[in-house]
Amino acid sequence: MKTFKIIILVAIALFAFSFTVQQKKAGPWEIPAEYKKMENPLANDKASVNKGKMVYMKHCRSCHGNTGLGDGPKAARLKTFPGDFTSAEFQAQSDGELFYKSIIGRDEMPNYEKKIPSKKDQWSVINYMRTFKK
Amino acid sequence: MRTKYIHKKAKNISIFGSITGLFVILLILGNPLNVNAQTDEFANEPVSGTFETGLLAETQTVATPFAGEFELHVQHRFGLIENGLEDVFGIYATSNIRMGLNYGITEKIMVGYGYTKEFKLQEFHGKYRVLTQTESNSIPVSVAVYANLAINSQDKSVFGNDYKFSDRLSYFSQLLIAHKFNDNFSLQFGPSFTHFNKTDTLVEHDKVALSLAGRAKVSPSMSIFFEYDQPLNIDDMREFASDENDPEANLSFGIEIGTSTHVFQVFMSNYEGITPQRNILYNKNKIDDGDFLFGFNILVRF
Repeated sequence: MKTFKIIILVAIALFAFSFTVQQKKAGPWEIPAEYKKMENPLANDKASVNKGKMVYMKHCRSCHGNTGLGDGPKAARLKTFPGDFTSAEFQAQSDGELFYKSIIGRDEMPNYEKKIPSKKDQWSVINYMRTFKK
Repeated sequence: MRTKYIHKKAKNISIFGSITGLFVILLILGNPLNVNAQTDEFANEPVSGTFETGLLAETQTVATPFAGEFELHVQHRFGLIENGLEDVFGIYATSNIRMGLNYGITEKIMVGYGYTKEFKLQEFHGKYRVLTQTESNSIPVSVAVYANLAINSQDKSVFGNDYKFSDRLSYFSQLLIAHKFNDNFSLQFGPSFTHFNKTDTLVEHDKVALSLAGRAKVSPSMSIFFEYDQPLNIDDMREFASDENDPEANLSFGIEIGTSTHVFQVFMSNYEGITPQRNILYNKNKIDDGDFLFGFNILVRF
């Protein structure tokens, strides 16, 4: 009986510990060529950035954080770190690459084609993400 | 007595005139959404986010769920605030609740079911988006039609003598016309028609009403909104001579917070019925008398 109790305790401890395991860094993305060279049809102006901010605050901030650091309130529950949008590495990507990652998505990053149906909204959020650049 | 009718009629017509007038003027004055040349690419795209969701306080809006999307609604109305701290502004008073589920069959068609605590109403409804405003304003307004059927599922003794099942039924239909002026401001005008198969004594069976609703964003995820509903209590359209049972107008105003999966609306309103036909035909709470109550709507998308 005593051994059984110990086993249960160990199991509970392991279960609890499994939640403290650090988030893994996102693996490399496979982005189709058509997206890689896709041009952003929306000029990066104040209007599109403002619109992008609205979309970002509604759909993205809960994981990606208010300033794109990947520290939103839901971020800690993700298995994969949502990324630091202020980094030079992130900002070096083309708009098309960001579009694929943001709108098409994969795994924990959901597809947003339905939730953000307007093409203009989709591209405006890319423009807003450019403002995180340090 | 006659003078009173005429006065009331004139008042109704002037309110009707002001509401439609205001909407038309705003439509004409409203700047096209986009004036920049670069937006040509998107000229014929439908505008997004005219309203956060298909429900704004007490009225339907031109929005519907996406195809294949469910929306769970929890609508709650507390008691009137008139008793002050005695029942903490109606929080501890008797409340009315509606739970509902909507489903987007296509991008344009929505169906749903809901039940309301007061009068045990079982409600089936649907909405069809006829037109969607475009970025270039080549289509200047979004138009939707909404209809519902409510079944009063109380004990049949409530319906008096000669009970028939059809006594339980009431209908509400509305034409919704909305214009998004810019990313921050949208207005909607909605004439509606309400019909009850059986009403209380000397309460009319039919009522035409007008609604005007607007929303203004104050931050990327928060907006303030208002809604005004005016039942047309006009003599020429009157079923009975007495105007004693005329329904009162409604004013709702509050704040709305929208996220990717949830919408929260907290507001004050005169209406306590939740189901639109109950509100339109039976509201006795007067704006002038301050008969307001607190209400909230919670909507979850999945």
